[in-house]
Amino acid sequence: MLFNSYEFAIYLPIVFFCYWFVFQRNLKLQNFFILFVSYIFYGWWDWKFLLLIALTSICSWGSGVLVQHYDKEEPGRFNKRKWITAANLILNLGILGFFKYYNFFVVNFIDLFASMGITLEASSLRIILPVGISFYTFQALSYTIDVYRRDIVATKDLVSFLAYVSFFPQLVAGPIERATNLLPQFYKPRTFNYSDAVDGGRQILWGFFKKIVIADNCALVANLVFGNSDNMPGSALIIGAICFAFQIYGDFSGYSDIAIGTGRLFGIKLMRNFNFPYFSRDIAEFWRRWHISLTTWFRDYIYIPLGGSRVSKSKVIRNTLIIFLVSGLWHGANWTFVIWGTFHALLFLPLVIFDRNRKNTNIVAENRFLPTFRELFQMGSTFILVTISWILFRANNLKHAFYYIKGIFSSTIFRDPFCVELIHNKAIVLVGSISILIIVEWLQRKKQHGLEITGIIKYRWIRILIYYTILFMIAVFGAKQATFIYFQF
Amino acid sequence: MKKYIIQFLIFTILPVCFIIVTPLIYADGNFDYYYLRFTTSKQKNLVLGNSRAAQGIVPSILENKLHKKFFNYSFTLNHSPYGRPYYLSILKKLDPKTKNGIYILSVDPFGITSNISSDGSENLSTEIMIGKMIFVNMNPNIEFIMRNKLAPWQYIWPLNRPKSDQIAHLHKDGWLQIDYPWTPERYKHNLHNKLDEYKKNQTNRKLSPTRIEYLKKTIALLQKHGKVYLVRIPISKEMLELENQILPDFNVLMTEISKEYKVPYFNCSMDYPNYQTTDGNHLYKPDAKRFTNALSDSIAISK
Repeated sequence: MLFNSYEFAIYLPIVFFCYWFVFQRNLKLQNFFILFVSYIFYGWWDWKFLLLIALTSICSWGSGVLVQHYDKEEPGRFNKRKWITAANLILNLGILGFFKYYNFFVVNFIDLFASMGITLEASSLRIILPVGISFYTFQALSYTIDVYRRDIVATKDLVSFLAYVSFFPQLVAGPIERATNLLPQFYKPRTFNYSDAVDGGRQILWGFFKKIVIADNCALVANLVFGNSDNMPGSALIIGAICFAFQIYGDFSGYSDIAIGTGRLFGIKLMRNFNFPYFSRDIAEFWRRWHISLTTWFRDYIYIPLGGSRVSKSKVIRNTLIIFLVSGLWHGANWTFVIWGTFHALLFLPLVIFDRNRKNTNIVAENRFLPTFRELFQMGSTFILVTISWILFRANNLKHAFYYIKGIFSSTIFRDPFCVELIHNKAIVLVGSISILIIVEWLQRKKQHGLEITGIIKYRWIRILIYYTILFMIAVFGAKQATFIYFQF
Repeated sequence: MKKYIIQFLIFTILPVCFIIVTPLIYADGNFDYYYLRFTTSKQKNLVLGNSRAAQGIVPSILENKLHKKFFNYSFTLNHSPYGRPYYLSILKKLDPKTKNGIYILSVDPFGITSNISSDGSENLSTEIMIGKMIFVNMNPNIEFIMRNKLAPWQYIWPLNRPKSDQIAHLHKDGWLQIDYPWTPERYKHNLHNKLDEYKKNQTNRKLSPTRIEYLKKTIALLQKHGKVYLVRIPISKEMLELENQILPDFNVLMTEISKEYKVPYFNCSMDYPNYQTTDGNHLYKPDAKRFTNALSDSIAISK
C-alpha cells in the first residue's frame, strides 16, 4: 500500500481509531493489532511477500532467543552463540542476496566468461524483488548483531518482535530502525500525546508536499530527460539532473517524514533519517545528513568493527572504500550503484586522509539568517558533486551515464532548455515549489522537519492558513500518484 | 484525544468540500472521455455498444427526430463488448420505471467475440473498469475519480487545463465528438494504422458464447422497458472485409437473434460507400450526424 494512495487515506484513520479506542487497554492485543495491520499494509502489494518477512523475522527472533540462552556459556572450541548468530546472518543475507543479486551475478559471470571466449548457458530466473527487503532485512540483522554483542537483551515476546520488524510506517523504505530504539517501545504502554500527534500530522503533511509536489513533478522531467538523453541539449540534461536530485530527495525524505509522522500518531518515535542534506558544506557532512539510518548502520556494523578511523591511514582508506562499496551495492545489483558508491568514496577520502571529515558538524549559518559567501560556495559545490553522482545513480547503465555527462559538457549546453515542451510547461511549478522547499527548509534547518512551526508562529490561524496552503498546493500542483523510488531497494 | 479528533474533522471539512465542488466545475467533456457517462441520473433511452456507437450515434439528433431524450452509454471495444460487466452496468444506468423506452444496440463482430486462450478462458480484464463501478449515476462521481486516479481539482491551475487543440470532447448526453481535420492523406494513414493494429491484435477472436448470452440478456432486459433495435454501423470496405474474415456469419447470427427476440436489425454495413470514416472504424463527425438522421428515420418508420 502506498502512502500517497486513496487506500491509505482510508486505512490510516481506521487503524488509528482501532489502535487507540479498541486495543489501548491491552498492550499485547495492541501489539498484535500493529502486527496484523502491518502485514495487511505489506501484503497489499503481494501476499506472498509476507512469507518472506515472516521467515526473516521468526528466524531472527529464534536466533536471538537461542543466543540469549547460551549467554552464560564459556567460550570454547564450539561457541554456540557465534554459530547461531552466523547461521542467522547467512540465512538473512542469503535471502537478500538471492532476491537482489542472483541475476546480477549470473549475467556478469556469463559476460566474464564470454569475454574469454567461453560460452556458458545459464538461465537467469524471473525473480521479483520483494518490496523493502533491504530495509527489513537490515533491521532484523541489527537485532541479531546487537543481541550477540550483548547491547540488547533478546526478547521472548514474538509478537513484539514481529511488530518491530514489520511496523508499517517504516517497513518498506525506512528509517531502518535499531532494536535498541524501537523494540523497547513495544514493551510498554503507549499514551496519546496531543502535541506530538499534532506535530506528527504536520510532518506527514510536509512529507506529502515533498513527495507529491516536488518529487512527482520533478520525476516527470527527470524521466523524460534521462529516457531521451541522446536527443536532449546539454542545458536540458542539467535540468534533468537537478530535477532528479530534488526528486530523490523529495521522494525519500518525504517518505521518511510521512513514516516518522505516522509513527508519532501511534505514540512511537522513529529515528530521524534526513537532516536537510542539501545544505551540507562537504561530502562528509552530506553523509551525516542523508539516509542517516543506513549511514549509521554501516558505521556501527561494518566501519567500526573494521577499525573505523582509529587505525592506520591505509586501513582507514580501505574501510572507507568498503562501506561506500557496500552502500552502493545495497541500493541494487547494477554497476551504476557500485560506481556511484566509489565516486562518493573518492570525494570522501581526501577529507578522511586530511582529518577534515568532521569539520562541519554544526548547523550551517547557525546564528545568522543568511550564509556567508564561503558557506554558499561550499553548499553549492557539494550540491553539484552530489548531483553528478545522482546521474550515475539514475542512469540505466554506465554507458548511459557516460554519454549523459558528456552531453552536458557539449556545445548544446547554451541552448534554450525550454525547447523541451515538458520543461517549458512545468517550469513555473518546478521553480516555485523547489523555491518554497529551499526557503522553508533553510528557515527550519535547526528543526526536525520543515513544518515544525508551533513555537515559531504564534497565531493558530496563520498556522492553519499554512496547512491549507500546502494542502491546496498538493491538490492542485501535485503530479499523478507514483511509487516511491526507494521501494525497489 | 477527543480534542485532536474534533480538530482534525473540522480541519478536513474545507478540503472535502473542495474535492466535492471542483469536479462539478472542472470535470467537463475534456477532462476524461468516460467520466460524464457516470455522472447523469438513470436513463430512459439508451445507445449501447463500443466506440463506433460512442462516436457514430448522436443522441441530440435522435432526440430531435424521435422526441425522446437519449443517452449514449457506449464505451470502447475493450471496455464495453457485450458481457456480464457491461450488462450489470446497463442495469444500473437504466431507469427501472421506464415503460416505452428506445434502446439502440450497436452490434458488430468485435462486440460478441473474444480472444479466447487455449484453455478456453476469455480475457475480460479490460472490462473490469466498467464492471467495478458501483456508482454510475452520481455527480460528482468521486468513485470514478479515485478509481482512475484523476484529479479535477488540479484544473484550478489554468496551465493544467486541456489544450484548446484537443480533438475529442465528450458531451453530456454521452456522445464522443471527434473534431477531425479530415484529409485524404490523413485518412489513408489512419486506415492503414487501424487495419495493421486490428490484424495484429484482433484477428484471433472467436465467437464467444458468453457474449452472445449477454447480448441476448441485454435485449431481454431492455425489452421489458421498451423497444430494442440492433444496428450495424457502417464502416469502411477494408474494415468490413476484415470483420467478415473474423465472423463471416455475423449477419445470419444477428438475423436469428432479431427473429428470436422480435427486434428489428438494421444492417447498414453495406452502406459504406455513403459514409466516410476517420480511420476505417469510426464515422467522421458529419457522417455520424447523417447516419443518426437516417437511423432515426428508420426507427420512426418501424415504430
